[in-house]
Amino acid sequence: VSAGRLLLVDDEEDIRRVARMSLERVGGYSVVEAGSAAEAVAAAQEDPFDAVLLDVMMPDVDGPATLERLRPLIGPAVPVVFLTAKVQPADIARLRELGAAGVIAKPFDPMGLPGELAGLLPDAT
Amino acid sequence: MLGRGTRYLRDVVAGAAEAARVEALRALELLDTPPEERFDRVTRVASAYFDVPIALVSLIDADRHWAKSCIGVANREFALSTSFCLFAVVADAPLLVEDATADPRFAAFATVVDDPHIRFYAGVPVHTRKGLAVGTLCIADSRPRKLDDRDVGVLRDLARIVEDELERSDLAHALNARRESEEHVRAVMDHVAEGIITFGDDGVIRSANPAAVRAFGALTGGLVGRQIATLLEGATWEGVRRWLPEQLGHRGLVTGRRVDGTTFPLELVVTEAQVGGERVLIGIGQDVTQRLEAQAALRESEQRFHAVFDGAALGMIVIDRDATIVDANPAMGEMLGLAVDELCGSPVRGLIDPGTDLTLFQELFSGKRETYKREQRLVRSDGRDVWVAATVSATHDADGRPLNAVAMVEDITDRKEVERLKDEFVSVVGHELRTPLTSIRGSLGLLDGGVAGDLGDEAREMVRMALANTNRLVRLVQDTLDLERLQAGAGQVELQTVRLPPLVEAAVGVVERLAVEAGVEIRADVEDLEVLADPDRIVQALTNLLGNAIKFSPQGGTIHVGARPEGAEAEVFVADEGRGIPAEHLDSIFERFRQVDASDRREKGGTGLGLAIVREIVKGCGGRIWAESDPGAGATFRFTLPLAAQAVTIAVCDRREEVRDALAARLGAMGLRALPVGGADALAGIAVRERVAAVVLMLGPATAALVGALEEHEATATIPKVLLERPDEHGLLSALEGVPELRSGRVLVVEDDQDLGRLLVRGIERRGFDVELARTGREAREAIERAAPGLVVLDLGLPGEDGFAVVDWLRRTDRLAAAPLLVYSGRTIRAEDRERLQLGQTEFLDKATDEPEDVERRVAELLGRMAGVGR
Repeated sequence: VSAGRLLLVDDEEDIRRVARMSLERVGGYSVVEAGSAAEAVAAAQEDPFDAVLLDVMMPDVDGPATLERLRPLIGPAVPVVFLTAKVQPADIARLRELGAAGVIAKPFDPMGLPGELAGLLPDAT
Repeated sequence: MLGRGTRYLRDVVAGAAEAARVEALRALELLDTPPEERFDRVTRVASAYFDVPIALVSLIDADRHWAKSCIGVANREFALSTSFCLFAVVADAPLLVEDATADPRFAAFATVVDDPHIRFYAGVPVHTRKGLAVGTLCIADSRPRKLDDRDVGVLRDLARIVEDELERSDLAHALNARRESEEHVRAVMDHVAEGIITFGDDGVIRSANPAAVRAFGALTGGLVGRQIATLLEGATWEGVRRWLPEQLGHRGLVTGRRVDGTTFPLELVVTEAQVGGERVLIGIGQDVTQRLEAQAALRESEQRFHAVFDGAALGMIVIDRDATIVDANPAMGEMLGLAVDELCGSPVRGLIDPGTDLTLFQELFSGKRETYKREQRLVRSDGRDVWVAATVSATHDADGRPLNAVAMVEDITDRKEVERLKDEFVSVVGHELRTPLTSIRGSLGLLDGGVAGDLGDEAREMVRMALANTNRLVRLVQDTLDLERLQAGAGQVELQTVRLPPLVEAAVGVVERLAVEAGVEIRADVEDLEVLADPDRIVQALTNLLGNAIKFSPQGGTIHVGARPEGAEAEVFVADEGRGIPAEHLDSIFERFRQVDASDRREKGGTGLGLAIVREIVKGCGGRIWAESDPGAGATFRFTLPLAAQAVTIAVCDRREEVRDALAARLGAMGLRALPVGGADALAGIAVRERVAAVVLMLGPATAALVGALEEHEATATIPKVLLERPDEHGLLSALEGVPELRSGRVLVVEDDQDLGRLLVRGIERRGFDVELARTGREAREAIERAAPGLVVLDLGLPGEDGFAVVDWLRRTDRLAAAPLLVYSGRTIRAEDRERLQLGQTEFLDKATDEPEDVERRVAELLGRMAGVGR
């Protein structure tokens, strides 16, 4: 039984692979990857997700802009967690203002990533 | 008849004013002088000889008749309108009047109608040497008379005598004038700096002035009679005489020869003049040894300067007040890709950005500043940019007025490029380096976690190693970025009023597992102090210090962490029982990558940046940090944070990091909370969040610009700006004297004994504090409710509510936790009393042993050293 369906958005393929392996094998989530805002939008139009993991620094359309496009598709209730290398308090505060459920710092510990994510998501999922 | 006579008289009176005549008369300088025997003798003879009552030597001035000598009249001065003499003078002929009443010209004269009733008059004009009629010798009588030719002859002869006397006066004057003029000439000759020698056609010296005598080393007069040629090196009179005609009137340089045979450079001009029919040659000359030496020295100095100027690696450029380039050296030309000739005469504007502010440059010429430094972009002839650091100073003329500006120009294009690369590198590290690290860290983590399948023992060990080192690399990246941000300042540290114990607890929580693994115990003893600090950053700093302490603690060792008040600051410490730090490393360990032992970095897994980060955090919070150690007996790290209650923030604004840090440290040591900031923008960011009592600016070339920038920001415009000339404690104290916040420290004295109360109030006031006196516990409570004091001096035995009750109330209502309490009582304080009275920082003074002065001193100490020093 899947712990939940996740949409993982990051422009780095290697990071997607590592994160996916961690989330699927360690955390038991089922993960759909997207390498750009466009792919993320396409995936969100296709299927519903329980949560979104979203990279901040992406070329062309960055994380916050991607969130803006995703939000109408996924609805207001689906939690979005940012993945970012910028972890200054000010950066985190700014991301939370955008309606993020939380922020996970890069580089992350793959063995701890599912737990970290679970801690940020509401109990319902 | 009368009318005609009057008109006629008017014409005659007008004749008196003839200029040459009047001038000649006045030159005699006889008018208005006392009577003189030489003239009186003549009038006496005339009066006796002609047997008349009246005889005068009259002088006819332009507007009056004045008698130099007179017999028979009381006045010496008469109006021209009653003057017979006037007619004789104007006509320049003897005037004989036998009966004035019969002559229409005179019949109406007051002197005829009234006293002395003149009937007879005879006057002969007297003349100056040059023949101008200036007056008369005259006789008069009240009876009509006749004079025969012989009588007129006598009168003429007497007039000649008067004329001789006039001439004598004239000559005396001329002689005097000549003597004076000669004295003038002599004075000039005696005192003029030039030597003046006159000599004849035979070359024999006729005269020599003192300057000449001195120049040639002869005794006074010793030159007269000598041959002029002997004063010129290698000259003969024959040679000089041939040389003279073409040289006359031309200044030339020859070699003078002193009497003792030594020589000197002599600047000489010879002219000729005729004196008493003889041709005299006049030599005017000057020993120019000194001038030539000065010129040579100047030339040498100029050559030296130009050698430096031309050979310097630094660009140098001289600019006049119109911002036109006057001179430039080859290095400057090279920097700009131009020949020096092309630079000279061209406007500076052509080299710099059109919008460049020239205020500082103009201030050099208005005398407002002597020098300034600026980084500036210049445009090379090939269109490329060159960044330069220019130090521009004013040069002055002999009167000290600004003349030109001289700029020393250093090419810093490379440095700018390095700075740009560094910024870029930091940003690359921020993102580009972390992206692959995320993949690596993730892959290794999954391998290590067995997610990607089982590994052999050796492979697992290799993966562990790779993972551990990747983690270290991740931390290094993290710390590097952190340090860069902290050093950039502005906005990285968010200050707020915060209690210390929770921060220490949080930090201990972070390292707890590490400590347990290392078998180290952490003991915390933290006083409940309120400080002004960034809580997240302080936890980070404490975590770093505790992490270090754990790393260097022996197994079974104990780490003490604590905080206690120290004047206006909280002092936080972390002490370990490790091997300690050698004295020579105590300062340098706060620099990057400066572990005591380079192998520590690998062994202990540190990045070498931890302490540098801690230092930046503490600095950002306005504190100081240092390390103490007895090698072998452990190390103690201490840092200070301003106590919230007394925190008066003084900003130190300077572009130069070392300057602002040094000043902030000094202010901190004086018990003030000092925030070093790099510029107006950074200060504005801080001033929005918290009250800044003053900003200290070190006087320097950039001060004016900085003050201007501060005035522009809304947040910083009203902050008092303290300009500092000397960065020592004395300079700071006097500069900060005017900052209001630093003077206000309100003290509440609770004391029921009126005399002692007043004594304490006066004494504490003298130390610069505002003091309020409360006589009962109730009054004390009311006073505290009105405004919280910075310190309370409390007597215990009070009417009604006693001191204990006041403290109980304070504790209950959570007041004054951070304000020091000074219990000053005559009562014996038992241990349980002490416990009950303990409120934040509490001290006990005994009325039996401690004098009021001791209380006052302690108050000053507790409220910050600022108030104690300099008063």
